[in-house]
Amino acid sequence: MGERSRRLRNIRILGVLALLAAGRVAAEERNVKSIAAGLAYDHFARTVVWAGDDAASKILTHTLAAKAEIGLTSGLVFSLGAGFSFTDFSGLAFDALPISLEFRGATLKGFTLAAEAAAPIRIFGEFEIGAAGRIVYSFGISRSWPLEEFAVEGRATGQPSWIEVSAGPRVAYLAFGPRIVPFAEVSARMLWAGFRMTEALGELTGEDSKKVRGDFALGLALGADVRVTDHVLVKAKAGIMPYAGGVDSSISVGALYGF
Amino acid sequence: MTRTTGMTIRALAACAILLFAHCGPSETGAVGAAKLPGQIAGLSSLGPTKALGFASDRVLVRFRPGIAPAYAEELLRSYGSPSVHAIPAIGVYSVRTAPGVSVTETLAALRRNGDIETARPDHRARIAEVPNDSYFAAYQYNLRNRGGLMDIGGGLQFQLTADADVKAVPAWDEAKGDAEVVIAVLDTGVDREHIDLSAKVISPGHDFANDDEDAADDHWHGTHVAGIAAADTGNLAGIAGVAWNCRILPVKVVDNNGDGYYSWIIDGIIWATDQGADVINISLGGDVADEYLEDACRYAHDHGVVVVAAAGNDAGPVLYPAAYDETVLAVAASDYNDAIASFSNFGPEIDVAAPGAWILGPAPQIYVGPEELPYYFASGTSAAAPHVSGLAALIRSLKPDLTADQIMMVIRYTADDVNRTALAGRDDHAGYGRINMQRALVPYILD
Repeated sequence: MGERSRRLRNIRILGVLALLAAGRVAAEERNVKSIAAGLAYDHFARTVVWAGDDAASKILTHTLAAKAEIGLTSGLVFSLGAGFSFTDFSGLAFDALPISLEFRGATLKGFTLAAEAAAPIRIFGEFEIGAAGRIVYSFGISRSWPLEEFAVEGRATGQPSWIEVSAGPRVAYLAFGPRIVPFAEVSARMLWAGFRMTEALGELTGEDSKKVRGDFALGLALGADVRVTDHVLVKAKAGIMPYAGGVDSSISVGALYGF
Repeated sequence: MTRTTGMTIRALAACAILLFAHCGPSETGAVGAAKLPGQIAGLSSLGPTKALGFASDRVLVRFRPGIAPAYAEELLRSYGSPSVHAIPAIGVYSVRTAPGVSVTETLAALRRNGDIETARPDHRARIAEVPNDSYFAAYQYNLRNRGGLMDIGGGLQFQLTADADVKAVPAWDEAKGDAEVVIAVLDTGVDREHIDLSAKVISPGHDFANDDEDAADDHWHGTHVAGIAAADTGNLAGIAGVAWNCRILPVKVVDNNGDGYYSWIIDGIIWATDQGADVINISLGGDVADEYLEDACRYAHDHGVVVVAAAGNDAGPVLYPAAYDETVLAVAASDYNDAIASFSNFGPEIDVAAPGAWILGPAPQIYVGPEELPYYFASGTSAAAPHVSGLAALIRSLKPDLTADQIMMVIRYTADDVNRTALAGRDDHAGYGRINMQRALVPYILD
């Protein structure tokens, strides 16, 4: 299966998820409790080992997305987001190309689609046990670099993409009332990433694709939903993802306006 | 693009000529071979190296002109840096990253600041892995040229130009070759007893000149060529080869006088290909185009073998099989100043150049005599070609999936255009230029 068809498949999956969410919402239209829209910023740093590599390298992502959120009377909250992603892949080597390339640190722009759901399960005193899940897909905009100092003109063109799926339990503390709800999350986070690099130097051409085939990390996060006014809700979350030899991090901040 | 010729009668259609036998006169007027002087050069003492990379907790920053140092340091500390070290002579600061913040994140943040001109990773340096072979440091300018005077005895001294070399040392950090990769040396045979070759020759080979299974060298040319391509390296003796770990398949296709026939060369090419050679070095050639010889080269090429041949030393047209443009890399000779040697043949078939003036290589003891060290200095495109064969073997070792065509293009496109002042771009004398092993093997950095 080619990179393009995989991307199309992933987009379809996201589309289906969005339709399912929309369908569910439509079905429960009379149960809609809140509708909100706003902006969300997300960041994560993940230490991964690309297939075929010996050493670990880091993927740093920043996404800025417009977000729409629907809350139901049952407590279920669905959201969809679309926006831009900025991803750094440091120290990634493309050794299968005729002229090996090493990618160091440039930020690559892309588009991102995200779907998220959270649901309360049970309340124990001042604690609410729930579950949250999220899927984020980033498909990078192709970027090109001149290959200089060779006997002929050349260019390299790269295009990254990644998908992160996370899910896990969430414990919210309700003692501060509805305006401030701190919470703690434990999530299983799976990351798939791909980076296709092509090279054209005179008559010499080559292509190399690097992949992360489902990197697992356990995330621990603390956050809070803060209702600043009756209409403005701020959501913030910071987390860590320990791995052998270090700790990766994640941050999410969002501001929503409720209608 | 093949070259036609009308010289069929003179060439007797099948006479292959050893290129060294035709070695053009050097600037001293001597023939292109001289014995190594008796003294032993000092041993290289540099040790092995560590991997490339950059510091994980530090970056280098330069501010725009006019920024006061006190302000600059304060600004850098505002990013959470626990230490800032100024290098005022060049206006650079070495900055520790804030705890928990990566180099990439730090650089991204610094680069967004309008006062900062550039921010870069603090790249790790290393001691280059230099082979410990006895004569490497003093005589193998072809692999690493540090300039200065090279005295090879007999009153022969040469003023070297620093960096007029194939950039072997940085390339060896990336690849030293795979023992499974074999360079077939089609020549006068190879001395399998030589200290720099005994561990590298994979079999007695085949002798098409005498029709037997022992390609021993009864001349010296083949041994010299084999050593340049893949002498035993790091053995505290003799010379370093281009392809440290690759091995040699001897194929004798010319006799003890340095003469041979196309039929022997054709047989040798086919035999070496069928034996699984990855690279075939042919430091010899004839004046006459021959479709059977061309077919043999195509057979090897189509089987994934990189065929490398010397262009010739007559300051005339490129010899065959080097002139078979599509299937053979034609190699011209450059010297210790990166000038193209005056004797080097030229024409549109020339692909690249490689050092071919006063190149040190092994020679059979029986040839040099019992009192002499078994090494020769020699000049010619014969000595240039095995540099290219060695590079082809290193590329095949590092990237076994590349086709022969791709390896040929890598070698061409990564060459240094050493005669660009007079002839910019590809030309008929240096081709794409003198080979650059570093550019061919070390990853190109995208940042």
